[in-house]
Amino acid sequence: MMKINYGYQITLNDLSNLEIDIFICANNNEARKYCLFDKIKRNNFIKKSISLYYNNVFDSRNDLEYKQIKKHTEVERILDDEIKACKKEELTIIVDYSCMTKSWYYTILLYLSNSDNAFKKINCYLSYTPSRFSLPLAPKPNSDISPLPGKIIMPNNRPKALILGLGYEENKAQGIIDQIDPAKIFLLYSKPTIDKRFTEAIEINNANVINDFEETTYTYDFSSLLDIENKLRAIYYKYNTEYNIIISPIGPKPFTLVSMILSIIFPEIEIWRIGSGEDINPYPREPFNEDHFIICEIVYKQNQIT
Amino acid sequence: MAVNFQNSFNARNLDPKEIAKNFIYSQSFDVLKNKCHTVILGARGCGKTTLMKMLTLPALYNWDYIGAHKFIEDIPFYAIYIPTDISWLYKDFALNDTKIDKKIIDLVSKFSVNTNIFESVCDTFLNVITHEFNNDDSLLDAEISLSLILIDLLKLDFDIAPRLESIKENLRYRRNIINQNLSKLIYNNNYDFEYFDFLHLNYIDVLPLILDHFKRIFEPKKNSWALCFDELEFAPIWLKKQLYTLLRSTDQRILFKLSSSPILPKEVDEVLKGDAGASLGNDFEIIKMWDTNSQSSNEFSKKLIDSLLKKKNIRVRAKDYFGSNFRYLDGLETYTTDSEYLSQIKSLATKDISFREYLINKNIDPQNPIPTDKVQLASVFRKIKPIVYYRNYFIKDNTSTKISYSINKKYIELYSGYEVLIGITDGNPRWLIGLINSILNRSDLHKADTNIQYDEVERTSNRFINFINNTPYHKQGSKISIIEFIERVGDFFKESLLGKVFNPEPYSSFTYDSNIMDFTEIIEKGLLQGAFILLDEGDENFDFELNNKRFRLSYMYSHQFKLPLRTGKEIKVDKIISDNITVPNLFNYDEN
Repeated sequence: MMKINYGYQITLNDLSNLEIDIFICANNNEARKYCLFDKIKRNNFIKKSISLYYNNVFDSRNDLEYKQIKKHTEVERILDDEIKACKKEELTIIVDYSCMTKSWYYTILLYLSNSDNAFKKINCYLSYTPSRFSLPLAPKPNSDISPLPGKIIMPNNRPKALILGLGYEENKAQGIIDQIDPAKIFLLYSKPTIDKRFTEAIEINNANVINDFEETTYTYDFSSLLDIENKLRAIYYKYNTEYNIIISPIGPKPFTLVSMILSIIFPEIEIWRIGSGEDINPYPREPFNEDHFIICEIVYKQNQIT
Repeated sequence: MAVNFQNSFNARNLDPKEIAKNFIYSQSFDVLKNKCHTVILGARGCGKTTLMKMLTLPALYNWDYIGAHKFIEDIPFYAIYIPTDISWLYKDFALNDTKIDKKIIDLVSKFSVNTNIFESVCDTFLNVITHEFNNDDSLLDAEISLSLILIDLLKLDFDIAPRLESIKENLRYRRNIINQNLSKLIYNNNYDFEYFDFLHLNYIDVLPLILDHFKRIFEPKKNSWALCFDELEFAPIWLKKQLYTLLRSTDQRILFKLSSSPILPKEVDEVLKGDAGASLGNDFEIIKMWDTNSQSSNEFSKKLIDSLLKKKNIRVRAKDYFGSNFRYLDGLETYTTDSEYLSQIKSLATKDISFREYLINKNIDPQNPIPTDKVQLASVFRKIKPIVYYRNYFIKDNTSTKISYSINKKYIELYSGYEVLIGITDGNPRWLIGLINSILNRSDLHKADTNIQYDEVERTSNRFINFINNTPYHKQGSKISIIEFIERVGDFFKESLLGKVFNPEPYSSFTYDSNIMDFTEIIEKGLLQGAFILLDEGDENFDFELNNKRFRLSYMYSHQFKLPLRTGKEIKVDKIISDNITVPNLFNYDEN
């Protein structure tokens, strides 16, 4: 089994002259979906490029292999096929999770750390393409509030501490708090962001909960994965002996990613999703800037303990 | 400062000592302490957890109540509190959402429940030792003796410290081993699951032995133990079936106290209706925590409000502090020409032609609406009172082809006052405490302004509605969501009350028949969350079937749908929600 050995936030310039074994992104109708892929393939050699889709393929490109995913376990199957075909000591994989649903990229992270393989090292680059601001829409009804699939933690008698990564849709956070019923609540939201309207919308649409839990509300720098990690680690270290730590990310994806990575490093952390199933608000998600990416390098090694 | 509902009162997250500080004694608590199996049914937040936790020794010994000492002596058992929460349900789903073999899933699910029970047993032993015995060296020896037996019976490592806290810690550690085992199993097709011996432990077999050893070593005052399974609606179905089967048990050493949602699942119905099924009255007692008797529910709310005023050092009587809302003062209205009610009738008759015609048909003069006799007073004047108040408040003009309504941003007169505050949360202590504390935090020691009361009623209602709106529900195909269902029902009731045609008996409750339209999941979830209130009369029935039952919306929806806090005539819900079901949204898998 592999363990996460270390991680860094890097820039696009660091992704050059690499021999990339697998590039995985997701296909939907968002304008930002191939921003990273188009940049990367200019300066790197990519052996296999995969675009995952759910129901519809929104384009047709010769440089991508399209694979349908109806359930998160199919991501495991694809990884099994592709990764086990790589007969080498080091694997390099790039995951653009900008357009992926949470369970897909969580499955990738979990698979890399839990599956037996012969690699000495896996370099996994996870990239996010920030989008331009678009006005928040009215929230859709929840179809489920539950742990993200792929990781099982047996229920126990300890109280729950909920870390809620706030999004910008109105009333979502309050409903989740009431449904999960935690003993402790921590709110985290992005401030500063790449466009201050994101923060303004978060603060307006979550004013009730921010007011209620003012003393346990924290902000993080949207573009700094280290800042997100530090805030989450601080809460974890303080409360993990008495509480079950649940992180429920309803805000931006880089926060979700860091939460997931921490849940792999600290097995007792759970990630819960709040989904509205197939009835999801459509946002245009134009890229904020063609050259702006938030990229994280995660290195997995055999039998190493972090 | 805003009141934090989450922290203001949520029994699940409160220490038993904290619960005891706020506990209001009720008849239900008396029933619960009987030496028999008991089932408590009620919606979330209705006080089930409070009752269950109050049975534990830390709560009882911290209960500031004149009869507490006698109660502790009288209670015939030690309560072993076993919490369940929503995560149990979803984790069961998560397990079933993997490619793990069904046999392993069953084994792991049972291991998980058993481990939680054993942890709770250790907690209870520690509580009994702390509260019922004088602390001396012999107690330590006794705890070590007991712990050695537990290590053996629970198949723990023999090298762990023979103390109850160590046993708890090792039970937690054991759970982590299984978590890791499962992770390996999920991501590696060839991984062999380790079938540890302890996975096969079963509390039904082990617990009587453990309790006998405790009795032999400690000689406690009481000989019985009550396994208090709280919020059983979230437990795995095998556990529910097992526990309802065990209600037949006549072993007086182990009693079962089960709390669950108002409607029990069909699987439990099968168990109870089977040949060996437990029967109400003979094998167990039942406590229904919803408003089957509004008078007792109101009494509970009144006591709770009094206790909250007392804590804030408010010495004014609650009724004077909040003021009365005359619209809800039954039987106290006058019918003289200068009375408030008759002036409302006259006012409405001038702007609502439909109402005027109704009065004329009843031989009542719209300009001088005095009751002619007691029969008319009861059958007309009293019956239509809330309707008159609401129509007069909201209708601006109903004398032409189209009805028009007054535009008020606030309905202060309708949704403020002591009677409204008592009724609006349907006796649900969590919401009532949140509401009253919100008002008290913004008021002085002498009076709560109606504006403030209204603002907080509105805020609390909105919060409740948002809570319901966030209830997870898998909307399939052409079915409607919980939100849509409630909106259809609420809008229908509003139209029945405030529509073009005056209706002396507007609809405000509904009956359900799944054979016509299937809304079972919506109604079950709504009942559990408190959105719907079951209106059955008999306390002697168990409720498995939703069919032909009568329901109303929680009064927390009154403000949204402009309804009075009254329950009126029923209609079949399929007539409200006809076949005009909204077209589902097109699939879009985008995510922000």
